[in-house]
Amino acid sequence: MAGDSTEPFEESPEPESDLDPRIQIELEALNNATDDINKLEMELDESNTTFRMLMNESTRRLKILNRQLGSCIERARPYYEALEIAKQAQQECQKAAVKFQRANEIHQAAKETVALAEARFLSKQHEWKFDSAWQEMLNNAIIKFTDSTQIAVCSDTGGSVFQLSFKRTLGVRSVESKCLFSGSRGEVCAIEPLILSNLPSHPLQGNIILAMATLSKVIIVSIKPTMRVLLTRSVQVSPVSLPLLSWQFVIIQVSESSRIMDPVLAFARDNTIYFFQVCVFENGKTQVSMLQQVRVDYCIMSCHWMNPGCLFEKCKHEQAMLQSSLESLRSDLHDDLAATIRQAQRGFLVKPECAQCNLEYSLNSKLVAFTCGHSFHHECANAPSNNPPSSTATTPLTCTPNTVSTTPFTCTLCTTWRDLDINLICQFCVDFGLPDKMWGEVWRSVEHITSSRNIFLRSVEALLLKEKITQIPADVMQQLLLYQQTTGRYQSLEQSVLCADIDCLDIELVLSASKEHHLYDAYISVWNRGMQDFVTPLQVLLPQLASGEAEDTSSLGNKLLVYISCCLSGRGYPRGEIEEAKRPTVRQQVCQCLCMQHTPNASDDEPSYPYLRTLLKFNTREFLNALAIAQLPSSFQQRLFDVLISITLNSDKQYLFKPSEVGYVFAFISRNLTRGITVEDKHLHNVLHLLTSSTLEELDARQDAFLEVIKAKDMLHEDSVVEMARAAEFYKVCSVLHEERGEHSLLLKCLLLDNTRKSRVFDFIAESSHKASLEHFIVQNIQHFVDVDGVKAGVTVQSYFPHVFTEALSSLPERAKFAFLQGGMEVGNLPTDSVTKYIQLCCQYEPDKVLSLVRSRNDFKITPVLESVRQYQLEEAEAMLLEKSGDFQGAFDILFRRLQGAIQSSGNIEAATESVVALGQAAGDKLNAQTTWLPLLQCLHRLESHETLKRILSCPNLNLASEFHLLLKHTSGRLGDFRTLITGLFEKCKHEQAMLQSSLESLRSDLHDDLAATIQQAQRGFLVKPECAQCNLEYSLNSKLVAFTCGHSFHHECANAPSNNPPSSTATTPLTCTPNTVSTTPLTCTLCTT
Amino acid sequence: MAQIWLKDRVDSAFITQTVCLDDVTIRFEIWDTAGQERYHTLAPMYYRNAQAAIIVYDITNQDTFGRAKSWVKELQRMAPPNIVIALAGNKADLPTSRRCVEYSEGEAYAEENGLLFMETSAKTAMNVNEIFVEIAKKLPKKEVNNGQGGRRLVETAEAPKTSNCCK
Repeated sequence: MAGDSTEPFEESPEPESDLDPRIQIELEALNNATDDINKLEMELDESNTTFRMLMNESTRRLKILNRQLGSCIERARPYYEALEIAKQAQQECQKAAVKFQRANEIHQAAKETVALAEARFLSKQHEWKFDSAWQEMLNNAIIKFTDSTQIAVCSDTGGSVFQLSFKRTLGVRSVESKCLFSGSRGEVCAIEPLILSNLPSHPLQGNIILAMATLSKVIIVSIKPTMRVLLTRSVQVSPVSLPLLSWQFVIIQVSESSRIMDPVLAFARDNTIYFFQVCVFENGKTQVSMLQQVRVDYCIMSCHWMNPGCLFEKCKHEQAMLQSSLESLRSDLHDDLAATIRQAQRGFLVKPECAQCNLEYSLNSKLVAFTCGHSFHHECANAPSNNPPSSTATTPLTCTPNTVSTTPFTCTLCTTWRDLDINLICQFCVDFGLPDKMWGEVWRSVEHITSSRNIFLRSVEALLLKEKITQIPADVMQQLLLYQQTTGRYQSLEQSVLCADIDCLDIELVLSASKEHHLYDAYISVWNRGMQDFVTPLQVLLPQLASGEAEDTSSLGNKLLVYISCCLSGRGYPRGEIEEAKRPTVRQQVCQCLCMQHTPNASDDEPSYPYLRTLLKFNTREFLNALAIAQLPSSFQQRLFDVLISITLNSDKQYLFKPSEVGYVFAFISRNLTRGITVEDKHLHNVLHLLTSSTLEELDARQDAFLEVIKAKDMLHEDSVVEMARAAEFYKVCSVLHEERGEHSLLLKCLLLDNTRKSRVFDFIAESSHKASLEHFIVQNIQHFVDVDGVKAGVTVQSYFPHVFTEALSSLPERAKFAFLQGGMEVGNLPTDSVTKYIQLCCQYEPDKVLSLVRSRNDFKITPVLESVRQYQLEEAEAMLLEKSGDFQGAFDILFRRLQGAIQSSGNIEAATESVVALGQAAGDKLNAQTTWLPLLQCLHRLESHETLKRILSCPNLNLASEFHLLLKHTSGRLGDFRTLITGLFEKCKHEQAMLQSSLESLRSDLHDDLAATIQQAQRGFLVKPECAQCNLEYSLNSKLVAFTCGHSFHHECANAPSNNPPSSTATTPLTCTPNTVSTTPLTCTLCTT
Repeated sequence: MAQIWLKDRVDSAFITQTVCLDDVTIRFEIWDTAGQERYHTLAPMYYRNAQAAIIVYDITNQDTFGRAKSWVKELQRMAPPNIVIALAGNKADLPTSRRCVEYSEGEAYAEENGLLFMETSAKTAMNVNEIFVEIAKKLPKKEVNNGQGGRRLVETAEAPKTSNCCK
């Protein structure tokens, strides 16, 4: 059965089916789990990679951070470490605090116990049984141990002191107590045994000494070897403070050789400290003696001896304090010193005489000067007290020679100071006349320090250029020049060379430097001053000028001219004077040099007289000026003139001079001819011919030269010259000649012919003082003037010759007339014909101007202008002219046509309307409504522009009612077509109504004002004489009278009939008050009451 | 003056003028130098031998006044020590509105430097003769007595801008 039961398993087709089904389940689970595992593994891998990536990333970041913060971390590390330590310390502190609290609690508890014990002890006095346990507890209060391990002392709250002896016998500990001080005799507050353990060799070793203090006493007892009281001393002080005790060993110098170290007790109470010394005698006896007592002005709360360690610390501290104060003191001193030195370096004025002996200083005298301004001879300053003269009585104390250093004020002191002050030093040396110091000590001290030396040289240079010094040692000068050369300041170099004395200069250096850098002044000056050679510079520099190689040819040439002029007139170059004795020699040398036929070592093809040629070529006029200024000796003059003429007139082709140059030379020679010197006449003709006929040069230059020549020869009045000039078209020359000869019109002609100066002809006329003589010429040649500038010609003629204006005008062609007339118009006051002509021409040439002209002017004839205007179809101008002539209808027609044209071409309707309206206003009622307004309205109505219509309607001359009728009649007759017109009409009506209203109102208010004024006038009173002006009788009480504001009054009867019998007295009565004008009612106040 | 307008000043010109002073006639020999910069280096030729110098500036141009000052400095440094220097503010005929250098400014400067000072007009010849008379008065006496014989060089350093306008 069992087999059967297993059969199904055996029969199963697969061998695995033999397996336990649980296994299969487990396998299933395993399979499932494998998936999970796989999944998890995958996840793990992923996480791992993520982690690695993160790791890498963060490592990288950390590295970056590390790199960024590197040193910071290093630096911050101590802080974090300290932080940790602090944390630990805090924890420990907390622990300690807890312990302390616990101890405190125990202490409190102990106190309570003591109090309790005491209370119980006292309450059970009758039992009088001392509980040893209690005592133990109580003795805990104050216990102090001594050197001996077996003995301690303690005091209790009662103020008693006990000695405790500890013993240990056979392993059993026991304590014996012995009363040292009973509380009944006072209350001990403090006990202090002397501790000797640190000093094993001290004679007191083995002794036990105890200091006790009550509130009123100090007691020292010896406990060992024998119990003995060493000292009791009562101290009477206020009981507010507790006694304090403190032992200390003190070294005491007994004699010179021996010192002892004895314990000293300090007992402090309130504000006093007492010191007691314990002495040990040779026999072993001890004794206590009072040392001293110290009083302080405060209450002592605590008293301790400082041990040497403390003192050392304190000492160190104090030393540091001292050090710092020392330093500040030093810096103060330093500042003071610096200020003093600065003060000393400041210059001050020294009188040129000794304050002691009143003698002036010689050049070599040593002197002592004070900042107060006094100065002494060195000798006087050293011995003044022996013979004080009266004059020093006023000298202030500060400058008595006691305070004087015996060294005179020199810069030696300063040489150690900074470079900055070198300038000052140099200046002082110069100001105080101590150049030796400067060149000696100062120079030596800076010579080898480049920066200082440069500063020194700079200041020397400044002084040199200011001409404060001229003598400089050669070596310094050499350094200076080299320095200037290396820094490229050649201008300064040149100036320095010029300023310095010649014997200071390294001539070779200067010459090479100045040649290299074109410092011609220095070059010349050195040759002159150093070698007394005035010719060599010329020989060197003139060829340079001739070659034209130098960049600064003009500057070199100018310098040479100045140099030559200086040499010839005996001046030094570039300044100063040549020695009187040398002048003739110099002059002669230079002259000879200039007139040298050939240069030394000349090439074959060199032209003759190269130097003169060079200078003439460079600038003929200025060279000749230089010669003229120099006043050459006549012997030389003749030669010079001959040479000049020969080289200028007879030159080879390639070295030919310009005609103007030849002319100038000739003029110069002619001007400077003096007695005994002659120039052949043929040269003159040659020169003039050359000038007039040459084509090599510009006209202008030749003219100038020509002028110079004839001026120099005084030929201004020769006719042949004029002819020559005219033939050569030398108009400038001609004009000068004519002016000279008073031929003003010819002069004018020359100006006209001269193309370059034509335009200035009018200025000339304006300024000429011979205008009358010019008139005829101008009229004759008006065409030429107009050719130059028509407008200006017009202006000129109208300004200066108004009566020939018309004549001049008539001879001009039309176009020229216009400009001419324009000029005339600018001046004004033209005759009517001319104005008419101008406007006519305007129509042709400048139509834009016509309208404004026609509008603004009245001094022209209308008919011819109208014709021209019509010819050129200037409608507006025409309308204006018609209007002016009274033909308004014609004007209107034109303007209306323009308006229509504008409407058709949609041009400027506004402007056209405006002009029509303006015309309408000007014409007033002279216009026929039928022919003017009607078509205008019709036209504008068609345009349907409210604005333009309104403008027409606002014209006051328009009688709308009648015009409207006309309008209706001539059109379709339907009102609807004229809506805009009617609207405009209403508006106009409204407007007029408003106008009427306001004018009425203003009229009324005027009337009202008038009435008010009259009434006011009437109410004013007036004086009436008491008699009738007619019959001269006084009024009776009942008589009626007529009075006037003029002051006259009459009887009513007299007033009514004066003409019948006019009395003689009324002859003088003014007419206004004749009774004809009088109302018959007398003027009474009854009138006013109404 | 009428002649001068014909002339454009480009280089130095030589003029003579006579002035009467207390029965003595003095003949001035005047070198009118161009004030242009390129002729500056030539100026010493004229003033080194001069007994008097007139420095002319334009009162409508502050710049020329500045240059006049530098000329004064140069003359004081380089010219003969006894030279008489006169400062002339030209174009005084122009309306005040165009003036840039006040009379007082020129006068103060002249005072400070020991110069003669006048405002002149080349156009109207205002103060032209006067300034020569003043110079004649200041010249050393023995030279004045020489009358005709003495040679006087007067150098006018007029700025180029102004030279065109002196008509």
